[in-house]
Amino acid sequence: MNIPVLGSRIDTVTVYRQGALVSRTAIVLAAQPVPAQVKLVNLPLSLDDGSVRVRVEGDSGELPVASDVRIALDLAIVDDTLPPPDDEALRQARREVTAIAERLAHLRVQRRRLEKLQLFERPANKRGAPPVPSPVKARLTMLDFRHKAIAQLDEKISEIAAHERRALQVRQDLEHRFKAASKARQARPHELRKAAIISLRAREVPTAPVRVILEYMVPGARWAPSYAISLAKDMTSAVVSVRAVVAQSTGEDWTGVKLTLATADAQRWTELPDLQQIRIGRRQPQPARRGWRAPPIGAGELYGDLDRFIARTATTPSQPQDHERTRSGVLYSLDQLATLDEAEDMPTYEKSRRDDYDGRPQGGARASSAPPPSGAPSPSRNRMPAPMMKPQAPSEMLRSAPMAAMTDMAPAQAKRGGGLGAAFGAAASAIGGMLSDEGAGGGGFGPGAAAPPPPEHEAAPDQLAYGNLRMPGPQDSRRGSLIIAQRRERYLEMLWVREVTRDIDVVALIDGAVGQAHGAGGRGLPPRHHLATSWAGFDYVYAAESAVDIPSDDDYHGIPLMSRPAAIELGYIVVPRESTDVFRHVKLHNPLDAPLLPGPADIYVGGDYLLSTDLRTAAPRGELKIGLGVEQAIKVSRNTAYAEESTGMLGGTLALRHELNVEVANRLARPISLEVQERIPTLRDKEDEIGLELAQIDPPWSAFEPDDYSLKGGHRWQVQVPPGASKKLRAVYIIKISAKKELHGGNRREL
Amino acid sequence: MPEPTIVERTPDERASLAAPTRELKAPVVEVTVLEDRAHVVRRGNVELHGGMTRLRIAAVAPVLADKTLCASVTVAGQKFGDPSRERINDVRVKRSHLVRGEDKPEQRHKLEQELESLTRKHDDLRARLEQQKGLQASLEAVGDTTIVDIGVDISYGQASADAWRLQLDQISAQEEVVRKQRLTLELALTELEQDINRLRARMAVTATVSDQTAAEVFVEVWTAVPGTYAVQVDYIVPGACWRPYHRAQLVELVKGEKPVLSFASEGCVWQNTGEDWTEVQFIFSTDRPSLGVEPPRLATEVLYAQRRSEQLIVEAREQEVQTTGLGGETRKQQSPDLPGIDDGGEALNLRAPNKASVPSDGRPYRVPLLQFISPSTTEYVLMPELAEAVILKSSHVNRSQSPILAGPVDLVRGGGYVGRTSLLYIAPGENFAVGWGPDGATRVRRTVTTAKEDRPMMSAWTSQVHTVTIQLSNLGAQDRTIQLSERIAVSEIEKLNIQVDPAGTTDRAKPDSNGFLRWKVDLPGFGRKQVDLRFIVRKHSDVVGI
Repeated sequence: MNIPVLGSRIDTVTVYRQGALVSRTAIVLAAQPVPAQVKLVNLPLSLDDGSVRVRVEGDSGELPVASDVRIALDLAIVDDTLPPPDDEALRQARREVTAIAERLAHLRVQRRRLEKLQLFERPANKRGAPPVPSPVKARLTMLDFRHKAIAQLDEKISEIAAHERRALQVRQDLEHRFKAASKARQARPHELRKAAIISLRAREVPTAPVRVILEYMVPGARWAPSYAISLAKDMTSAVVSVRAVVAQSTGEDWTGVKLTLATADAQRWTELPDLQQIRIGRRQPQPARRGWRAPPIGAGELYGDLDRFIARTATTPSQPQDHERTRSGVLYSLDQLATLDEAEDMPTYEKSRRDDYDGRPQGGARASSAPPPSGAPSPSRNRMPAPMMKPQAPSEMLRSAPMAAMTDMAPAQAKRGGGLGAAFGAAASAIGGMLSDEGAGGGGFGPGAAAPPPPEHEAAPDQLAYGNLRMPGPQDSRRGSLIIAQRRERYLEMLWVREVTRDIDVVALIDGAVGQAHGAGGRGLPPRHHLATSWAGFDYVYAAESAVDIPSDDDYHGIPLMSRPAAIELGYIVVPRESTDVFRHVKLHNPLDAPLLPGPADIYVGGDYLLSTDLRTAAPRGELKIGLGVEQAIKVSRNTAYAEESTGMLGGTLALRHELNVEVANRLARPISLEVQERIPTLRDKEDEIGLELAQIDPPWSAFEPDDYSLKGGHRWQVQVPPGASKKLRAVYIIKISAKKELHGGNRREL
Repeated sequence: MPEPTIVERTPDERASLAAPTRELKAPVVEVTVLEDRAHVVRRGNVELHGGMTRLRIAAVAPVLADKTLCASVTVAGQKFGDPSRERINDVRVKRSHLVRGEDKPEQRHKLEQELESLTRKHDDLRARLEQQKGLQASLEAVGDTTIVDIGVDISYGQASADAWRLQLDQISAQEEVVRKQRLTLELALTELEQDINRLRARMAVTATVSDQTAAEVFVEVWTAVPGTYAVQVDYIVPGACWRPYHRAQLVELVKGEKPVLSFASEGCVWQNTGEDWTEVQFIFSTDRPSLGVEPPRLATEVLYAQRRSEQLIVEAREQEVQTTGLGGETRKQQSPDLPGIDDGGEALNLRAPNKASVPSDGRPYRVPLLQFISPSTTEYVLMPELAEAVILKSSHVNRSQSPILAGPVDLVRGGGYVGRTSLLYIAPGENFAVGWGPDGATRVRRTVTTAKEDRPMMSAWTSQVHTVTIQLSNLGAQDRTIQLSERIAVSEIEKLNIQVDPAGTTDRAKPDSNGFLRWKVDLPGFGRKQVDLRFIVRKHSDVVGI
């Protein structure tokens, strides 16, 4: 079955606080019959299978309906626009290293051989004949030969060792580059990707192209806002540019996508809840819900005839050699894998069944080594739903039939050693435990309590994914009832169809991809950035105004979102009590209907970079104060005067008169609006020894309560100063205490 | 299905063996699928000469239960047989092991052939590699011997360094060639081994019972006169089951009008019996032959008395308000096996309107069963206490003649698959609601603040203020109207009093008699709203447990 592949591209991406929703569009051509199934390939391995949604859009007539979508693994389609694969080069480099090592080994063998060249005694002389002359010359020649040959070999060895080092370096370099390359580099032919198989139902041939839109979640993408604020030279207007840094490592590059950033969390599938009333008082019977009933039992017995046949015939060694090999060799490792998968797929209730599953000998040899006792149902079908089904009625049948069968069986099986018998013993005691628990529970319920209603049966969400359920064959230990297919098996489905099975641990591969995607931006945010969060309980979206690119490389990429003109008011603040420096600031009116979230801002004045500052949150359409530094052209001076007078009858009271004089001089060419912040002392609650009164304030001031720190007794003047002019501010306050007392820390409070 | 004739077994085996054996093409024509087994009916017409004939039906599911095997014979075209003119003498199943590749199913045969050829290639390569290794060892021995020879030559006074060099170079040159070949062979062998492992893995996962075991059914028929006869064989197999699977589709019949629900039920069939069912009539049944025959037993209840408690211990409980078809929060039982389908107490036999095929691979196949169209009302509902998500809900009526059985529902909206939910048993004419999943554009936050308990002096009553704040954000451009529901507990005892504070509650909403408060929230595009609920719990000091 060859499913036609539709080319697709990413249109829009919404990045949430964590994770992103990707929307891809594919086109089904007009004037052609709509295929029953189409495939969208090159989807990232990290995509969340449960989040996949399909939509069909078009402009004409009756549209086809996408009735189903499944996710499988497929081979990636080679995309020529991406850099070529470096896999072949890497393999070549590895082969090169092996070949050189081989050559080196050969040279070393030759060298060892030469080293073995040794001197023998001259041959014994023939009887009566004089001894052969000592072969000194030949021996010297040999020494010379050996020396030269070894030297020659050594030279070669060192030369090739250098080659080897170079080859190793090449290999390492390639391996390194291989790792560093973008995850979305051109897919190697065997690289796996996910694919969506969409079933389409159409009654008529479409007259206009139909768009198939596939949406899915990918984990781990993150974003943080940043800003650029350009102030006009004359400080009358500003442009706020909202920017963001976005990181993703989902395995696919987002190129030319419409990007939306949201402060919300991604949403998961939620079933329609059922809000029920809460009553406090009399007990009422629970209404029963119908839908499910206990699983059927007894189908296992139907396999009895086949089991008997296999048991009877398997004793004759008629199995071909070939089979033994297939079964014992590969099946074993597959089963191991399956067990691993299972541990992760079905956590709790499969445990008890796995005991006997594991205890059972594997494969074709199974029947010969452990024929099931004839007549009895296959051991693995001794399921336990019966006790769980009717806990309120632990009937005789329950105790007698399966338990007796199991306990009787256990010693018999134990003879055969380990697995089966032990498993059964465990199962039997488990049931026993359950029964006694039941009894204890009943007693603990206490007198007067009504018996609990019979439990309602319910299908687990996993069990309702019918597409993932499989009916195992008669040789499976879990035959006769539906089982949930292993993730691995589900993903490989497509590959079988295409007959390209590969020995890759796909589950680990996918989990690795998901882990990698989750770790996006793990190297940390750029300095001073903060990940986006909700503001005051509400969530907002920020859409990029132009298409953007974000490669899947785990790093943060700055992108522009939007620019908006904003009204500003230039203002000056001086706190003469602490410093006579006048601080310049602009009051920026947030031009967005969304808040400006905390983040770094670059401030430009008339196109020149001025400084970087941290932006605090500004409410939608709210105000934001941005400090721009000290203005040298405004001069402020502060002088104080102090006088101590006796007042009251008989001069029993002391009046401490403090006078503050602030003078502001504007040397700028334009009028300014200056805020002068002051503070006067305050009294404790219920203070009755000290009196404080404001004597003279000129011009009048107002109370000052800063937003970001707590202050009592704060006041401020708001003064307008024309260019070149100066202004005087005066405040007098009087502290009254008894003449016999003095203020802690001195009577004079102003210096 | 017609009643099968009761089989009479003849004691004389030899007589039946003597009868001529003929092939009978009797394909599977009808399958009644139950919750854990299937009843398979095969039918075929055959020309008979009269007298005893032995018919053989090949490739029958090897898992069939022997005692359920039945056969019947009638004159072709007639409904009922006449035992005086034609009858079944014997019917039995014979199983055999498949050893020879040619006997096996085609796909399996092909795989085995491929494995065979790869294995042969592997053996060939391995032999060549061994040869090369041997050659290399021999050459090394030659080298070593040559070195010894040189030593001997020297002791005889021969000093011909050039000759030695020539000899040694010759040897190492040959060695180099052999080593290179060995390396190539080794690499090729590694790759081939990977291929073989892959192939074996594939064979392991595609293995079925029919690869090793075959079953055939022999039917002995006796007929009085020659003619064409219809022979029917039926049997029960395990390893097959069905469950209802639904598809709900919201369709706008007229653009912009209220959508209607097109609801389709399908029978989802799995089978791994070893025989493919091709173009067969399916009947889906909720009949349960495995249901127990014993009535349930009663348990003893012994009464005890105890001192009357001074305190009033209350227990808050969830009381489901009767709405039909929606899941409730009672004690749930999940078992490792998929639970059975509740048929409302009446066994259903649903006949598929069309024939369908289900191969024996253990995978699900969906066979259309019934379809109806119901008007629907849709609304966005929000029950933030249970789920902080705005959910699209549609309400419908079961317009079909038969009940909707419990099972998953594929949701199709806007021309595409949007998710899966599930339904419980819904009787004909009953109302039911379908949840279409959360609305992607809205976000909800619910915060609950509980004030400190306040107890005036000299009073036995304490009161506590609870504040619930629900914040709604619309991230999309479209307006939303949301039905928001909150609840407060309803007290049935005098010493406990729960009241909504209208001053702290949006729109001064009041709870109904069941304690529900409802708001209709209009949320404009990119808009935000907040809904508050404030209620005060006053309780007497006698009340414990809340």
